[in-house]
Amino acid sequence: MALDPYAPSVRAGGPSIRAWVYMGLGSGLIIIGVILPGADRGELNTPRAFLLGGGLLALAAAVARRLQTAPQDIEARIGTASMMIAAAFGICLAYVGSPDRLLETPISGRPAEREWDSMRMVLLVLGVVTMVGAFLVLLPVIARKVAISLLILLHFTSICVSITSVPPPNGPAPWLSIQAWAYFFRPYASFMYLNNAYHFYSPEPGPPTLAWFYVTYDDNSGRWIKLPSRKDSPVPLHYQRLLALTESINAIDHNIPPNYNDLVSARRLAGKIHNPEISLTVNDQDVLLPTIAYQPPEQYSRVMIAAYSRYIAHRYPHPDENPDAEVKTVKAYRLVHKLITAPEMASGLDPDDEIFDYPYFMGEFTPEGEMINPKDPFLYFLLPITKEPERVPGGPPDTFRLVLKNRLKMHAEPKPTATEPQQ
Amino acid sequence: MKNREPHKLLASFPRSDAVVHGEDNSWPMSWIRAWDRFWFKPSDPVVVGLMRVFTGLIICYVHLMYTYDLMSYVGQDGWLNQHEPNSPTHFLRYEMPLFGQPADWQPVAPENLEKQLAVGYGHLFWSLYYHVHDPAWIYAIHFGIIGVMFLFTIGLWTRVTSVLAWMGAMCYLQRAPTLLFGMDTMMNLLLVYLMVAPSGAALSVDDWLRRRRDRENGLPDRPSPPLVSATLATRLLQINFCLVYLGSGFSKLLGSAWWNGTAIWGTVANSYFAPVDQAWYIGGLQFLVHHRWLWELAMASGCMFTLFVEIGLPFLVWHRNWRWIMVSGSILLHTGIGAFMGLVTFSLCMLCMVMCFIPPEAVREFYRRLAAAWQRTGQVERPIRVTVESQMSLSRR
Repeated sequence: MALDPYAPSVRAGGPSIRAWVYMGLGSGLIIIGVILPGADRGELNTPRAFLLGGGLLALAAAVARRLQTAPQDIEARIGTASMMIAAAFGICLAYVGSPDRLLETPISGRPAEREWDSMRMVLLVLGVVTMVGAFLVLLPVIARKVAISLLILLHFTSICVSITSVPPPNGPAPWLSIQAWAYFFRPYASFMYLNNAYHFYSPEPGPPTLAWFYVTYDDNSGRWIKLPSRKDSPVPLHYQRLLALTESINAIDHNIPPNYNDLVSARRLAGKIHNPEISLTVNDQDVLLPTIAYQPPEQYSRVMIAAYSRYIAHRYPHPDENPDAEVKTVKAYRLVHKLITAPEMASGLDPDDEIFDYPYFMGEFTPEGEMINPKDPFLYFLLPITKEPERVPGGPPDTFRLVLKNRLKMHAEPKPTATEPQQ
Repeated sequence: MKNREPHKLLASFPRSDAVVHGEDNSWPMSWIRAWDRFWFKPSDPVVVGLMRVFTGLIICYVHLMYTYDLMSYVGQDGWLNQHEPNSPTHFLRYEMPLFGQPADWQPVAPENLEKQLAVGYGHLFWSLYYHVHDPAWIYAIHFGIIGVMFLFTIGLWTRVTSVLAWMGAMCYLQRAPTLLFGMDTMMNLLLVYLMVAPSGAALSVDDWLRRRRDRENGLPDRPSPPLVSATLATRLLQINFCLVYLGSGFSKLLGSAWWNGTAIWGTVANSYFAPVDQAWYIGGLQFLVHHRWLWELAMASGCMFTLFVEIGLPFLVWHRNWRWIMVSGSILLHTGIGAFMGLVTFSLCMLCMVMCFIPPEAVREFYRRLAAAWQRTGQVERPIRVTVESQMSLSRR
């Protein structure tokens, strides 16, 4: 291969003629794809995609064949570079010929989606890469090594910037890393999906985030959809992906809003009016840390929770009894499942006990994912699940039993069924 | 250790014949030569060939698993739907603000945050599935991609199929970015570097076809010769692997749980990852928590082992005497992650990546012994090939 100064598999009879045959075939297919009418009206896109895709594949085969069979002398390298430039030209032609119709009416200040825009971006990148490849082929061995060394340094700088641009627990990320990522490396890292910071289970192994939805139907029946669920994921990877999905609603804005006290008052009042009553804390007088009581999501998580509610509404029609009943609303909750500690397990608690769940109300949505009441007083507030002592009815005066008070169920389900005696 | 300077350490690697005789031995030249040897000394492509086989098997499995509930991942009405208004894909691709930092010391008011600090909107996500909405075509593309991945696995037309396999995988990664986890990151890394590597030069159908062609032309049957691109890709993988470990290891030092030794508990008692529904597993945890000394020892040693491997490997793996210890530690770490945290495919990807530290001679020797054992059973008769390969392997050593 031409990048390899010691490439061994050079053919005895010179570079393969088959490469030029592939080149001609690819160029021909691309030209037919470009002159096919109707690109501006979104017509004949399927045959166009096949022609352009097939043409690009033939160009790739031509370049690969040439690189594997051409010798390393300067004349052969010029031939190889010429072929790569011709391939880059073919890619540019495919770019010009691919559908670029505007898919929506542009609104001021909002970028509009265009037909096949992401594939056009790929073609642009492929064209640039092929041109850079042609340049590298033309360089003598030492200059080529220098150029490749610079590319290696840039690549690993990009990865180091991704690693360091995540803020540590109690401070901001390095200014230089953020600027380098924002202004220079972002397009490359994003395009190649090389933007992971590799901070696995750091700084601490955190509690898992879950997403629960309560779907209400026209006939006032309802059902819970809980993500993730092992029993609903026959494939282990499906479960892992849903577990990852729930993390996307966990981007929390940790700034306490200036009207926090008003929000808490409204929440307490709404809790008192609700039937059954839903207190913010066990006896509604305890003070809860604002960062625990109220966790509004960032814009990213708001968009995702609305999208997931829409998906749930469309995916889960009425189970069986009343197939005509439409989905009326979807209530979304984010649950943080606190990890059981060793002393808690030693005392006999179950890692899956409901008291380890910290549910937050994320809004009630229409089947199309529109939030019904953005000023809902329960919005983004904790709905604590607790076990509280209660006098045993008819028992001796000082005997109590622990009663589970599941305020999540009280809030979600129309019929209160949440008070369950515990042994 | 005799040589403590990095350039001398690098110089302790086997040297290329082309660069050692009679050159200037001043430190800049010796550094340049060390760099040249490190990145550009040709090496046997058998390691990248082996990695291609394992990576191919993993990606075929991962993408075959997408078939269950495919439309929820990449369909127009999937988790990330493409319906306006409020389409999450539109938000991710065009509207999501991406922030920089102020260029001076002036504080930025929260209400002006976006106006002053947004450096762009949306990620450069790309996928065929953004543009194909017909379920029949989605399934056709899906199985087409799996087909390409199969060709990559067996090593047919590898130079083209390696690129297509990466592009195919990206169609899923970039279409549903909120459904990704660590396994996808590692899978992408493997595919990117195997695209650079001559991954079809060994243990592949391409290699078999080349040998057959050589035999037909009366040429001797020989394994693929050493290649610069094999070294380049292996080094890229090795350095990236070290960066993954360094990023992971150093960021753990910021957490109190990794200092006080309770972090491992946070992973093994997490009922959404660990198999706590299994009686044997929960029984084991119960036994541990009822024996505090044992619990503390197990958790602290687990933490120390993790930190030692993640922070130590990037430095020690380059030393020949430490390499097998660190590679074994890494294998042990990822086997544990797969067994106790349920992240089997992630662990398989990491185990595949750590193969880049295995010397090619060891792979050739293993392959030779395997072939010899196979031959002894009388199932395969290819004495010439085995002999030539073993001779090349011995001559390189």
